[in-house]
Formats: sequence, C-alpha cells, structure tokens
Amino acid sequence: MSLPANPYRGYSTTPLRRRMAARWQLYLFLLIPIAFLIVFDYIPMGGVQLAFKDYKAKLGIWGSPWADPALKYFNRFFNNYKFGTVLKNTLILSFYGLVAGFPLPIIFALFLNALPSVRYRKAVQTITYIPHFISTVVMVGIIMQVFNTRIGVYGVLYTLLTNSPAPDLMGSPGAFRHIMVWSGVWQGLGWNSIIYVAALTNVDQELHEAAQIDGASRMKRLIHIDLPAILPTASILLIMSVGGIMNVGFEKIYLMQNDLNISASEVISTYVYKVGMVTGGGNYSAGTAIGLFNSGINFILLITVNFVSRKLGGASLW
Amino acid sequence: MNKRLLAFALVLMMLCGIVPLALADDRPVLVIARGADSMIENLDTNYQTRILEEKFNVDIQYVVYPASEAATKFGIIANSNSKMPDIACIGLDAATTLNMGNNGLIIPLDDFFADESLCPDWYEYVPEDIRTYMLNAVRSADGSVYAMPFYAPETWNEFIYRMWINQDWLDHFGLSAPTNTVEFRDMLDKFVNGDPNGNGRADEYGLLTLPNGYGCNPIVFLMNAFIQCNPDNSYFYVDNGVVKPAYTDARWLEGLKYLNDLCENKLISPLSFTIDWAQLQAVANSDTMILGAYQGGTASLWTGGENGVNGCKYDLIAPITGPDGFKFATRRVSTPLTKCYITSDCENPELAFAVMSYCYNHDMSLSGRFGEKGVNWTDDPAMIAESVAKYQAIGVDVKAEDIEVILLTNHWGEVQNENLRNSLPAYFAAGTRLMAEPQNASPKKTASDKCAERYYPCGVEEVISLKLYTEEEVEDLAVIKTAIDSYVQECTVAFVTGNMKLTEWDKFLDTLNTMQIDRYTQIMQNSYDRSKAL
Repeated sequence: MSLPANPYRGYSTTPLRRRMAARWQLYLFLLIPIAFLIVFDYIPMGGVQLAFKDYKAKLGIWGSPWADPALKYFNRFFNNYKFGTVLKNTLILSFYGLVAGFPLPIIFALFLNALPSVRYRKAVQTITYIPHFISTVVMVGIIMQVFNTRIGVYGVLYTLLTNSPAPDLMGSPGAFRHIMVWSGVWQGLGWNSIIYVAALTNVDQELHEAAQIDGASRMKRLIHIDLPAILPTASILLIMSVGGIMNVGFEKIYLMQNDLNISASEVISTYVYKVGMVTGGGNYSAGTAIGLFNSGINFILLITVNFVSRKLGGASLW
Repeated sequence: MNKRLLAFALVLMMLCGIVPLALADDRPVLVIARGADSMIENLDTNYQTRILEEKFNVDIQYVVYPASEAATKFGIIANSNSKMPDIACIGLDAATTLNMGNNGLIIPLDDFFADESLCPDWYEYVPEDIRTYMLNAVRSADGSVYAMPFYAPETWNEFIYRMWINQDWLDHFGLSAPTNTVEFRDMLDKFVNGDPNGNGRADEYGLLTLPNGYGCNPIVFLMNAFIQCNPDNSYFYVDNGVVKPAYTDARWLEGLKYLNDLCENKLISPLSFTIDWAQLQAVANSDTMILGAYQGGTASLWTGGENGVNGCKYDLIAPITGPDGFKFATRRVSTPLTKCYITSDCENPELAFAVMSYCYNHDMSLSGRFGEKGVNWTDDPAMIAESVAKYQAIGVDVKAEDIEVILLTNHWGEVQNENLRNSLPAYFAAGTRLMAEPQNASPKKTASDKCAERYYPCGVEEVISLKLYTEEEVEDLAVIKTAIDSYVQECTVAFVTGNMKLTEWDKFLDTLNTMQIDRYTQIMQNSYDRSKAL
C-alpha cells in the first residue's frame, strides 16, 4: 500500500521554518486571528464541563461539584416529554431550510451570469442582496405586518378575494415552517449568490468561445461550463451548511414563537435558552448539556458529509 | 499650524471629559438594577429618586434591564461572577431566591430588619402583626429573608379576571347581559355574525384578549363556569382542605369542549393567543367599534379608561353559570411580593438597606403608587371632607373616615415622572382612595363598584395564597413545576384552538402522570398546610 502522492511535494525544497522566516510579516498578520480564536473559541470551551457538573455560582465553573450521575442533565433532557418534539422540529426546520435555501442561490447566480446587460445584472444583484442587511428583529416585524390578518397585505388580499376573514398564519403550527424558511430564502438569496457570481466571473471566456464555435447553446454552456466551474465552491459551502445544520437561527424563531405555534417552533436553541436561563432563575448545567448534545450532532454530521464528499471525489474541507 | 490646533482641540476635549469626573460629588453611590418601564419619564430625576437622594445624601444610579427579561438578565450577571449592582429592584420567584441566596449572591436581611435603628420607618408605619406576616411571606425555604417585601392589599386587584361586554351591541340586539354559558355563546354569535357596527363588513371580534397579562388569560372567565380556574396558582385549587389540580378533572374537559367550540367558530378570536397589548389597544380604540368582549383587569385598555370614548360603552358583567349551575370568580389574594434584594457586591449594605427601608414610610409608599404628595395626592383632612361632600351631594354613599387619600390627578396610565410605579418596597392600603372630583354627575357605578358587587360574592375563602416550600421541595419544583406548567399551558391552548384533538385528553393525563403530577400536588398541599398554620 502506498500513500497518495502529495500534489504539493517538490513545491519547495527549503524547510518550512526557513520559508516562514522569509515571509514573517505575513505570518505576523496571522497572530491576530489565532489569538481571537484562542480567546473567544477555545478558552470558553472549558465551560463545556458545566454539562457534567452541578453549577454553583459561588464555586465557579472549575470548583463546582461533579453531577451524580455524571450524565444527569443529559438523561433529564432525553426523558423530557419535549425531547422528541424539539429534536424533530430542529431537524425538520434545518433540513427544509437547507433543501429550499441551498440550490436557489446557485440557480440564481447562473441566470444572473447569463444576463447579457452588465448594468442590468449589477442592478438586479444589488437589489436582491439588500434584504440581507435587514436585522432579524426588523425582519420578524415585517413578517408580522405582512401576515397580519386585518391590516397586513396577506389579510387584506385574502379578505378581498374570499370575502371572509383570513386565518391567522402566525398562530398556525403548520404554516410556521414555511414562513420561517421562505422568508429566510427571500432574505438570503441575493447575498448567498454573491460567492457563486464571483466564481463564475473566473470562468475562462475562451471555454465559452470554443463551445460557441462548436455550436453549443446558452443552456448547454450553462450546464457544461458554468455549473462545473462553481461545483467545488458549492460542495464546500454544502459541507459547511450541514455542519451548522442544528443551529437554526435562534433569534428569528424565538421572536416568531407564540403559544399557538409552539408545537412546531420549539427548537433546541430556544429550549436551551428557556431551560438554561429563564425558568426558575436558570439551570446553567442543564442548558449546557442540551447545547453540547446539539454541537455533538453537528460535529458528527460535519465529519460524515466531509467524508462522503471526499469519497465521491469532490472537494472537502480536509 | 493646523496640526497644533487639532492637538489643542483634542486635549481640550479630553479635559472636558475629565473635569466633570473631578467635580463629581463625593456622595456614596448606590446602583439599583431594575426593569425598564416606558411609563416613567426619567428615572434619575424621578420624584421618588430625588426624595431618597436628598434624605440619605446618596447618589442613586440605575441599571435598566429589558422589562420582560429583568430577572433573567440579573440572574446571568449574578451567576457569571460579573460585578453586580448594589440593589436589585426585581421580583424573583422562590426557586431563584433560594438558589441565589444559597450561592451567597444576595445577602440575608433578617438582622437588618431586626435592627430598629436601621429601619425606623418599617417599625413606625407597619403594624407589628403585618411586619411578621410580610417577612414570613417572602421568607426563603432556607429560613432567611432575602427580599424586602411590597404589600398593598387592594380588593380591586384580587378579582382581576373580569369580563367587559360591549353594552351598545347588547342593546343593538335587545339582549341583556348573559348569565350562563349558553347565553354567552349566543351573544358572541350575534356579535360576530350579526354585524352590530353596521358597516356591512364582518370585521367584528367576539371575545378578544391577551394570552397573558393583567387579568387577560383568555380561558379563565369562561372556565370558571365549569371549575375553579386560577392561573396564578398554576390552576391548583382547594376543595375542603385538599389541594387539587383543576386540569385533571372531567369538568375541565367540559370547559375545554365549550371553549374549543367558541374558538372553532371564531367567537373567541384565536388572535387572543398571540397579540400584544399595543395591538389590542388599537382594536379597542378604533373609530368603528369592532370589539365585542374583552377579558382583563384594567380599563386602561381604552384611551381615557372606563370613562373614555370607547371605554364608556363597556359594562363589567358578573361571572356566568355553566351547565351544572357552577359559577366562580378567581380570587388572587393580595400577598406580599418580593420586591428588592441587596447583592453581595454591595459595599455598604447597611446604607443600602436603610435607604430602601425608608420606602416603608407611609408618604413614600403612597408616592410609589400615586406620585408627589400635595401635587398628585393629599391626605389633608379638609380636602378629604371637601371631596367626600361633593360625592355625597350627588348621592354617592361614602364616608370621610373610610377615605385615606384624595387623588388630585390620576396618571397611572400615563407617562409621568412622579412615581416609580410600585417598583420599590412599600406598605399601604391602596383601596381607601377617592378622586378629588366625582367623575360622573350622577351616582353611576364605577367598574370598581361593579366588581365588588358582582365578583366578590363569587369568590371563595379557601384559596391558595402564600407559597411556602422547603429546600427539598424547591429543588423538586425547579424540575417538575416548570415542565408541568408549560406542558399544561401548551396543551390547554392547543385543545382550545383545536391544534390538539379533545380525544387526546387521556394521553394528556398519562403524560402528566409520568411528569410526576402527584409529587407536584403533594408539594402544593404541604405549602398550603404551612400557610394555614402561619
């Protein structure tokens, strides 16, 4: 059995340290992001032990006694009547969001690229990415206004067309997922397509010219030239999205939640907030345990998708 | 040259920043954390703040948390070992208080309360038996008192789940106020489908209220025709000394069926489970009347209150009877509330306590509710006699010796800067008051009179008021109570709106059993027994 050839082997014969020394200014720039990661991502990770401890503020994170049994808070979560609902809602929302939200920016970017007028293309692009800058709170405010049964666009149109009062979509568990996902797609479509548009501008024009001479239609060129060009970008982004699949947007869901749609809108992140910080002055250990469970699933998914993608010969993170 | 000028200007700006610090007074600083209140104009210049600052020569500074999440925010700051404010004027529940007390985040106040020199006003203005009652009521499960209590018994505030009906619409259909569940349904049906505002559009709401809020839970008034329904006690009630949850009873299921029928037919607007106060106000105050019935504790919903343009059209109806002839009015006994805590980060807790205990001064307590003495209210006997005479002249039955306070303004529902809206500790009887001028030319009954006449007789004596738990019980409740309460809330709403079928009732009961409803009931029983023995 032989190791696969390192494609970068022979790139330089000088040792790594010498190469680094030669460009030390570049590596100096790296210090800040590394320090940032250590301070804000790695050091707080020590707090994960809270999930296995009975947190006492007086004793601090390190001084608090270990929970007995160690998995007490995990067991409590798994045995909770909400466990099934919360997990199901989280998975459905995130997969739905991924399936609906992932391909659309690619398709949009391809069509944008196919537009003949540069000025028109730029205008469309700008207009479509502006909603990205609306903050979550304002976005939910807009959704609530639009779907108001009396004064909203939806309510007025519904009453106009059917001459009966509109059903309250914001209070319907069935409608919650669709409103949540599609408002997200609307908001993120333009912004998420930027990276694909950028990748498409790098496509060598000679390929297009050659294909045109061979008689390829615009559609054929789109499928055989443009699409393969952005495929590596797309697969990396897909892996990253799957890695964050359990992190459905907390703020948006929490703001859209109400007593009526709670059966569809309670997800792990909102549940962590309620258990960990709100009820009974907060139970930080229980909150951490549920959060850790969430991250654990994310981690497994990320590894799996990356592995599959590499096996299929596509791009991968490592 | 330009550079030098710029440098000079910058130095000048820095000096401007430093000078006020150097000139700042050397009064001790007390930092008070509290929830935001949009009805208070400016906390720093508020009348009550100024009184405390002048009296004790301290500088009171406020840290303001979002109103609905004040306790959460305070809990996070305390539990993360961040620097806490000196005083927290935030009501905390039993579990949080015990948890924070055990962790030494808030300090026990027993010794302070025992020291008369620290709190002369507490001893002067609060009678001894009330003092004992107030402290016992807020005493934590570990035996210490951490909270400074607030106690303002007022019968008007004991029956808050009141039903207001559009009298114009009743007259329009020639109906009298409904007395039972059948009449109530017929009335709503006419309201919603009979176009009482005559604009040819089906824009009328039957019953509309808030999911929660002061007296606003949509199921309470109607469920009271089937079984005792008290959300403030997590729907537990007392039956001959035995504490029971209402939601496991077959009568509760009957009530759910009734409510579900109303909701499916849009007679109760499903919006009642989602809208907020501002939206409800917009509906209630619209130019065309669109609101048929509203369940809530306050007439402040209408601009101008019960005498406002829209507000005066609504009448407070008596509790209605159900199919079995049962009727009930939920009574929320006025109990002392946890109002104020001193944290372990406070450098001078004696001073903090002394300042806050001044709030038990009679005038100060009343200021918290009514505003500045002599401007917003008075207890001058001559003024009382004068106002009482005006009331008697139009035939109102009122005696001068029953009245303690004459209100010169009524600004509870307005933005003002005279009171801190009951956010400080206090002790006063809020009921013994009268507006300076009669509001009506004839002895028209006020909502308060109607409430006394129609609701008080439907209440019961045997109610859960204080909740006194042991440490072990608090720990159990932290898991059981939060889970069951939210499950019951979710399922009740789902049953009423039809998101859950009533055939799933047995499943609901089974789940409650696995969630240890027995233990919950036992703890509530113990607590009730303890409060009886008090």
